[in-house]
Amino acid sequence: MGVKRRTFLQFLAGGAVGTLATPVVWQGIDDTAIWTQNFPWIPRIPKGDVEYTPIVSKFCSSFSGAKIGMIHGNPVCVSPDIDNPFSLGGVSSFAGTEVQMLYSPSRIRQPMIKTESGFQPISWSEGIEIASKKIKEAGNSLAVLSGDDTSSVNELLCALIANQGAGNYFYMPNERQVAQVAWEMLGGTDMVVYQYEKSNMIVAIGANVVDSFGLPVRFVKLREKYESKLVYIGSHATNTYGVADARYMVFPGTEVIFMFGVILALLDKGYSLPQVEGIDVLKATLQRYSLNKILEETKCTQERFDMFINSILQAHSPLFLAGSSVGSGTPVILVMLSMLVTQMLAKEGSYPIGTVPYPSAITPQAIRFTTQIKNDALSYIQALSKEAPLQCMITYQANPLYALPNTKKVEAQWNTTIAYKIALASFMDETVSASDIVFPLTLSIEGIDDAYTPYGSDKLYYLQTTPCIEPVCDAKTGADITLLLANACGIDMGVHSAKEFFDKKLAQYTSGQSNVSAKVYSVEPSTPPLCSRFSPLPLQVYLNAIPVTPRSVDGARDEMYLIPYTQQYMGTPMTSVPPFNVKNIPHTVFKDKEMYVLINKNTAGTTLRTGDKVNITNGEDSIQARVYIHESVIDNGVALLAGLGHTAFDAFTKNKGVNPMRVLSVENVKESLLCSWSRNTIKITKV
Amino acid sequence: MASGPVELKIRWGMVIDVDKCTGCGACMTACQAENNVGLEENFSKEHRAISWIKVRKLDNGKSFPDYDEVYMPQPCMQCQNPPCVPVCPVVATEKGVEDGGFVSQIAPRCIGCRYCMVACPYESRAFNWHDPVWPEGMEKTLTPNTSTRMRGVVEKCTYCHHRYTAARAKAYEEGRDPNELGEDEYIPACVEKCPSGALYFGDLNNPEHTVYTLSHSENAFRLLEKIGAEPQLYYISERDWVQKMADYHLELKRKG
Repeated sequence: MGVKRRTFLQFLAGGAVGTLATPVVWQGIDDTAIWTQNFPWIPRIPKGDVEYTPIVSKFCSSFSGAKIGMIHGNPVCVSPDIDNPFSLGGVSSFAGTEVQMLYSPSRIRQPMIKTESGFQPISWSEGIEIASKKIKEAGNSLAVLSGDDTSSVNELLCALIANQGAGNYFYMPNERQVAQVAWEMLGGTDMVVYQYEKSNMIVAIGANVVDSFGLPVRFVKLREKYESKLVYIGSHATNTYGVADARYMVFPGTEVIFMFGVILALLDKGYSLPQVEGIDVLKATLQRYSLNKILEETKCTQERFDMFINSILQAHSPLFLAGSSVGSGTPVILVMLSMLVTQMLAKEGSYPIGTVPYPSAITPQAIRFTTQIKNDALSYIQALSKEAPLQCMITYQANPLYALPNTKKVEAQWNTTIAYKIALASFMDETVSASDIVFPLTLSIEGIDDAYTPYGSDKLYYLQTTPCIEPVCDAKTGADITLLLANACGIDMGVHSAKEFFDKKLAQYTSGQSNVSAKVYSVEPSTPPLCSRFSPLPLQVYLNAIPVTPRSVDGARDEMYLIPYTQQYMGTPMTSVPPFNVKNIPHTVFKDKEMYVLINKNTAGTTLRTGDKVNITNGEDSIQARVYIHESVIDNGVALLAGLGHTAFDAFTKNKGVNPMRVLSVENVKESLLCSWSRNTIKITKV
Repeated sequence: MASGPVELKIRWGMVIDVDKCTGCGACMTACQAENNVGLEENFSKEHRAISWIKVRKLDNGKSFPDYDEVYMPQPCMQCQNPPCVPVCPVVATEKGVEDGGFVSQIAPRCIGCRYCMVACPYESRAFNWHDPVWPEGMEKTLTPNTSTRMRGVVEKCTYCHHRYTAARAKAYEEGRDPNELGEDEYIPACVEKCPSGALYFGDLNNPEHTVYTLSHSENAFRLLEKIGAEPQLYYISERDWVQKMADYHLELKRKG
């Protein structure tokens, strides 16, 4: 039987229709799709039940109480611990990455020593022997720079260098340091805490209280609990701006002047300044500032200023919290004035500032915390000279080569005036890269550590971490490393292991107490006496540092100010941005390896447009970024996110973006007071 | 789009108070860890970054002192009338009618045509341009909750559906009706970890759940309500400009 053309076409058409109609083909395609896409190289997930262990995460500044979820002893996730009395059931975006950061590509996995060909692994015993020899040789030309002002490891490190006759103990600049110095300048003693329950209004001056100031997780919970109003005063719309009940914008760097205006307005309303030693200097200064001048300087309108004054007068004991959107560099005088105004407005029995004792040492040789906290790291480093170099510097959880202002200058000093550098760190940051020997630190779920009343607390808190796994690499706790160094130096610290040391610390704080919960111990603060003096030095330093700036004929201001700001998800200078958080960075501030500075329409004028590349300089160093025109920053302000621009770490952040700390302007380096960087005058030119 | 919204006895949904959100990003981090979302070294290409929940920043466009801004976390809306479902040629995404109204995404069935991404008006879906990668050792931290997805497929938020099945299984074991879960028994990771308490979760049809009350408040609104996708996610804000920006349709309704 022959096949005709028509029959053949009918066969083809029938076959096509039949093929399409049958489910076999579709099922086959579906199955093929499923099975061919189960690529064997895709990581497989573990099977089993997740068991949770409560911990206190020291990984982030919020000290989140969390539960570590583990499968077969392997940590896989971080969940909030709603029973934790400190963080009250919240976990920050930073603490949420602690499990993954165990395996960060930047993690230091064993002790290392620098050689001509770079870092080489070294055994613990060899490393400790070399480092202890250098410490002994250094004598009292020895210093410590710590990036953690809450840990008792500071006590051990203090005792280590004190045994050598050295007293150079420093902390990386932070908000607690400024607050303590300010408190002392007002005649206060002990450690400052903020009693939020005594106030129904929090006034945040420059402080990003819901994100990067103090203890944001606890703050947000307490604010909700006490139904406090939140007022924000600043030059850039930080996270706090968005959730504040009222916002007042001031010209960059004029927060102190604004506070002058607040005091003048209060005096006008019948309030009085405390009659204490030194207050006449403040009164004389205030006389030079009329309200009109203050409004002109701060660019705040009379109407809005009056609105603010009325709101604080109607509030119950408003608490003023001053800080910086980058977490350091706040002028001491700003915090002093905030404390003074808080005192002036406090109702009887409702003074919202409290005090708790300083941490007490169990190691007899340790230098008292009161002495350490006043030391200024930046001015110390700047004062070092090649002729008399520092023989040995130990850094503990600190990254000054990234986080100190005028970074290039600091780096030059660091490399030329310090003979030997020992780093105790968890991640390969800029300072570790420039060190001679490196000892890896455990994270808080691997090794024991503690925290004493972190800044922003409302009472005395003693928190101890609970290691729930063995270190995933050859790391040790800060306490263990210090004790090994002390032992090799022939120093008896009175304790022999980290566990013994922290057991003693826990017993010290919890002795005879019943309110110990999950190693979180708390004591109500005492209400301190009101300020007993007013040290004029910070005021004089501030006034002397006010730049004389040229004005245009119409009175407009020509200078530009850099406003660096940071966010929790950006990590810390010691961790960089955790790989899990890099997607949190919006494309409006970072895109294609380039940073964007936020400038408003007025400032941009007709010369700058979104996307323009600009050069930003403070006269000593310069950085480049692109412009993003946005109204979230005040006139003449240039806002730039801090946390990128690393030259160390890993592929997730290395050589991406720029570091605004490089072009900040440091005030009062030579004064015997903490340095500050709140008025960062810059010049911008289009590239 | 489907012929109309499906009727659901149980309607799991979320309410986000944008006035409380601080934009900290804890929800994004929590989601990535919970659901084994792969990492990306080059995070600058936001449109290609895989993130099941994105925290967007909205502002009113005005200058100080009138400038205002809010943060708006945006996971999948789990629409009741999902535009993404009917366009899928291989039924890799479905509207679950029986189990509380989730829009599922079956990654192994997906052929990567990305019609659903085009159809989704909320940009809630992401495409795997590459195989997921974790730095060496970090794959040990993968959770048992969600299988990793391969190159060439679309993925999206599931409201942590594994938590829902776990809560139901627990209810079964305890002899309770799994269709009557309490609002604390099943909470997605982003809601659980939000330190600001801005995210709420529960059955939008259950008057005993907080989300029911919140979604019926006068400040509640949904994104792009006029297109009729009927999202199972409500936002609340006292700021009028936020409501207007989110929902042009609502603005017209108000004007009458």
